[in-house]
Amino acid sequence: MHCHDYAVTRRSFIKDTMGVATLLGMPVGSLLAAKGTAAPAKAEHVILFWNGGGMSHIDTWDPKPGRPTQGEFEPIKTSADGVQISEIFPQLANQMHHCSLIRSIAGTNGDHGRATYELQTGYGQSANLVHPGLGSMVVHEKERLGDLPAFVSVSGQAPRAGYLGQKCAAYFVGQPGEPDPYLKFPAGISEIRGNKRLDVLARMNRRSSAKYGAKAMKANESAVEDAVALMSSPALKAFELKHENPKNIERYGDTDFGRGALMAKRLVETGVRFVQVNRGGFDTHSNNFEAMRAHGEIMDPGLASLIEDLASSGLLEKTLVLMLSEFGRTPRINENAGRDHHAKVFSCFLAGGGVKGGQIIGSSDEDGVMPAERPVKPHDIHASVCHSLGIDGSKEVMTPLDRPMRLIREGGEPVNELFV
Amino acid sequence: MKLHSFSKVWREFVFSLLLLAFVGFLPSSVIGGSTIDKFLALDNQGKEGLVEAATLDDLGFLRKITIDLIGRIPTRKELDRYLKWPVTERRQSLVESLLEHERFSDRWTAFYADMLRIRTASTGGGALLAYVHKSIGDGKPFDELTRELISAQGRSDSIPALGFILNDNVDPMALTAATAQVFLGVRMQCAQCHDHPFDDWEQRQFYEMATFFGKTRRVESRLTRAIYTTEGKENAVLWPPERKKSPSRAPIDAKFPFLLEKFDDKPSHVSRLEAKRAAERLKLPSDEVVSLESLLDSTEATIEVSSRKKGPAGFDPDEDLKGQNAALDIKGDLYKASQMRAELAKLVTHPRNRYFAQNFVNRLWAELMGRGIYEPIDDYSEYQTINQPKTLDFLRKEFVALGYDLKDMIRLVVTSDAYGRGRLEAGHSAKIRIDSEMAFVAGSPRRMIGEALFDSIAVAGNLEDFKWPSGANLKTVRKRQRVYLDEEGKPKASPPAASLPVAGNPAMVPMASTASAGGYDLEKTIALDFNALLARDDVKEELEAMRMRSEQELEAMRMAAMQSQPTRRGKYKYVYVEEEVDDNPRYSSSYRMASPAAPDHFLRIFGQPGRDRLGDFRDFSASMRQALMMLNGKITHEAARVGSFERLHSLLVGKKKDFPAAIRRVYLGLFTREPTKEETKEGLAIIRDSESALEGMADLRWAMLNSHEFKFLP
Repeated sequence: MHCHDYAVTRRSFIKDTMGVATLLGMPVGSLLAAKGTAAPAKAEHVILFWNGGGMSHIDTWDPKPGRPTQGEFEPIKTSADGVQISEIFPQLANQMHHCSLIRSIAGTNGDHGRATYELQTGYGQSANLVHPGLGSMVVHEKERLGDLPAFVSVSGQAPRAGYLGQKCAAYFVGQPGEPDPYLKFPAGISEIRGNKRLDVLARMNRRSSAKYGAKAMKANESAVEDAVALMSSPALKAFELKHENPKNIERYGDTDFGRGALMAKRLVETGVRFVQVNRGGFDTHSNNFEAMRAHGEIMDPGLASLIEDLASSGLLEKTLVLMLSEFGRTPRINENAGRDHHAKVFSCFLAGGGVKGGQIIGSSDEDGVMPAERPVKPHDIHASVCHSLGIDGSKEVMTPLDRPMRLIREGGEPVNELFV
Repeated sequence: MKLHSFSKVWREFVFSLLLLAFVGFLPSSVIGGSTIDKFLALDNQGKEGLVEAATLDDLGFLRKITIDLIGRIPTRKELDRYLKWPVTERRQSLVESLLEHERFSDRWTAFYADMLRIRTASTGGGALLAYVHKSIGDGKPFDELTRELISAQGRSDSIPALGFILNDNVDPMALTAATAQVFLGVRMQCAQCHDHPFDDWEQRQFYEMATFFGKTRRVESRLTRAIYTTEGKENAVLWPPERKKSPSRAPIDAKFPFLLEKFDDKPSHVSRLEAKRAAERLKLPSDEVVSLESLLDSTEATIEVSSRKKGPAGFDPDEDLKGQNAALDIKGDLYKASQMRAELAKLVTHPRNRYFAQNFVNRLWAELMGRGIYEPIDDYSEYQTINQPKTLDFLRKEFVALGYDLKDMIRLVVTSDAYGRGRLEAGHSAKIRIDSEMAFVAGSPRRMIGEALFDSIAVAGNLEDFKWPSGANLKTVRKRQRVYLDEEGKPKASPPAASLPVAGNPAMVPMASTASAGGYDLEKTIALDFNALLARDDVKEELEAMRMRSEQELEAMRMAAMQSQPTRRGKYKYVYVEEEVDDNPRYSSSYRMASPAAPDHFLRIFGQPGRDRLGDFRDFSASMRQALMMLNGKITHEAARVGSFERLHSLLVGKKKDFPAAIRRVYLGLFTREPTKEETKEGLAIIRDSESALEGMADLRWAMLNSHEFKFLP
């Protein structure tokens, strides 16, 4: 699928997949194995939890018990042999046999903006070029399934689609689980009346198109058709949590994060390729421990329930779950009981999509200052996502000015040990 | 046959010689839009398969130029006034009235903001936007504005022009790339890291130009957190580049890599500029004369040397910097002015620097004509295809002669036949179509820019002011709210909401509307008060920065505020509360919003660039997001509904109802034209098939707002 070609993609996906996706409301992905891709594709979907601000690695995935840098939290045992995580994730600890950690990401940048750009796109910032984020890259390569947008960003902005074009940009959902006013006719406009309006509009547009025959107008008409298809799709229910069992909302936690995680599950079940769930507040220069405990209380039930549910439905095999942040935080605890920016080493969380559970890749040194074993570059993570999805990361795409760009920055290698 | 075509070519050749010779001697008053057409005809000579599109009728012209010049469709009042003007003077009077319209500066600020990459969220960005707005209103020549932007020095809260160099963090490399690309339309950025593979720029030239910026430092006062710039002693730019691992790196001479035009006799456009500036000088109070004088005359001397390959001998930066400690800015603060950047600014804007004028006129041409004479508009090089070289040459010289005046230049372009033409109708091959559009004998299909679309919807729907009596639209809105829980899981007394900087801030006026009722957050924003932004009071940097924050940043601050308030932390649950609101929205102009808007805002969805990169232009492609925004958005819906204060209302209900008149009114208001008979018939049918005439009219208006005809320029 090439996102530039608006009219073509719309028709091809409608024809190929709409019936399946909407009738069964099932993981359509599993029915439509990717054809002709570079590596054996396992995953069909990605859920990315983006934790903005730089999440402390020592207080989450890489505890340092007994060291002066340990801080207030103790490590706890998990369902995976030999894997310990911070006590702020008690429920997740029971799911760790499904999950893996990378503890040796060697970042290059301690500035929020630049580091976020690098971790989200795999590239460094440069003038004259806007690199696409991970989600845009994935939906450029993996065609949309069903009516819903291929890429949905929840509770915050995903990076821009850059040279891949607007069609690869994320659909933004502000309040997870709440009805989205842009997906239905305005209040007071019944479906009958709305459809009548659409008929009048189509008639008017046909007249202009017949008069001028401009390509730009045709593209606008396809966009309207797409919008209408989405508005009338039963798949939209995935966005609204009023259709969800209240017990599940309780289990995931009735928070933006919990709702985001639950919605991510529902969206993936409906065929959405890439869901990015955003969360901020990790820039803990002061009161780091109080903040991280609160984050734990909110994230733990959501993430643990998501992994549990995906695993029991079998969807975890087809869904790569990833939790990333732009950098870690200093092992040194500052005078405000905070930790500052630390890019030299930090961790990330992965599960599903062919990732073998219960593993730890790489390590940081005893105080969590520098990578000790198996340093991983930020774009190695992007390469790993490609590997998981069967996307050839070395493929080149052309920017609008005909400059060839690799999907994954040169030098990015998948972390092969992650995969079964 | 052959003979005939030969004589035709010959005739055209003689004609072009005469024209070229003639234009040089023309008094400036005679040069107008038709001169452009003559040069376009010369450039298009010999091109086959071009089809000329018909000239727009009077109303089509009114619509097109009103959208282009003041950034929205014409109002009914403007339309009536236009038609009252005598036919022969109509278009000319219209051009003059639009150039003087109060919205002219608003609309063209968006053009400058895209070009200069102004972001109100960055330090000094809001003040810079307001400053550019004021400069357009004051008719400040573009060369003067450019010099201010390149050479500004001082405190960010008292020197609004400083926003330009602050935008690139005062980094010499970034500023070099930006100066070349923004003001000269040349992409030098690749030469920062390597000799350019295709173009003629060498890495050393990039470093030589960067040296002009190398002494400027960005300083943040520890005490007041005020941000200012000053000149340091050492030049931060060293040659060779770090990665070449040369044993020694040292400062190099600043050199301007662009060759300035040489000529033995002063060409007429330079003489005309000098005469114009001399005349302006006479009108000015005496203390300003010095600076204007130095502008042309003293530059000549520097240029001579700098254009020599050896570089600007006689221009010793260290020598020039002596005694700068004494340089005071008017406010009494002590900042060292940047002699080097002042020098660079003169070179960049020099009348003999062809790139400067050429870049601006090509950008302006692209804005008004839908495509540049060369594209991308910031990528001129020897290897670039210039489709209309003679026209470009004429335009750039004329821009110099007109004293780099935006309005004069716009007047020149919009009075050409080329601008006044419509689009080709269907029935021509794709090749003929594209060739004709590229030759500017047919207009390109152009969608309004996002800001114009937003404001046009507001005008079309009479939403600039309340169109309902208060209380007519009471509705209950369901809102989700957080309630924080104590340790036993019981709701805590609600802590005071973190105070947000919006409240009580003079520069940030929340829009007087309930646009957010029902979650339509992507169409609302905060209007900036340009006057407050330029007020040089003793506003502290923090406060200034706060004013400029985008909604996203405000959100981050909200989050941070939540973090720092223990009572707002920890467990919470969501409850739904119902609130009664009077949903009677009105919309202020989108040109006055903080910009760029948040990434999912209406304006961004309709192509407003992020302005965080060079080469990031407006995106005119179609998307499903745009369709959803227009089909279901709040502003379209409200614009379609017929408010009881609208004149239209009385044509639909009550004793004076007159459906054909109502339809005519709507067509004139939304499409700037009379409806055809079929359209009137169609409109009547829509009204009759509806539950009420008001509903039917809302449906018609809604469809029209969403249509191609509304969004695309004639």
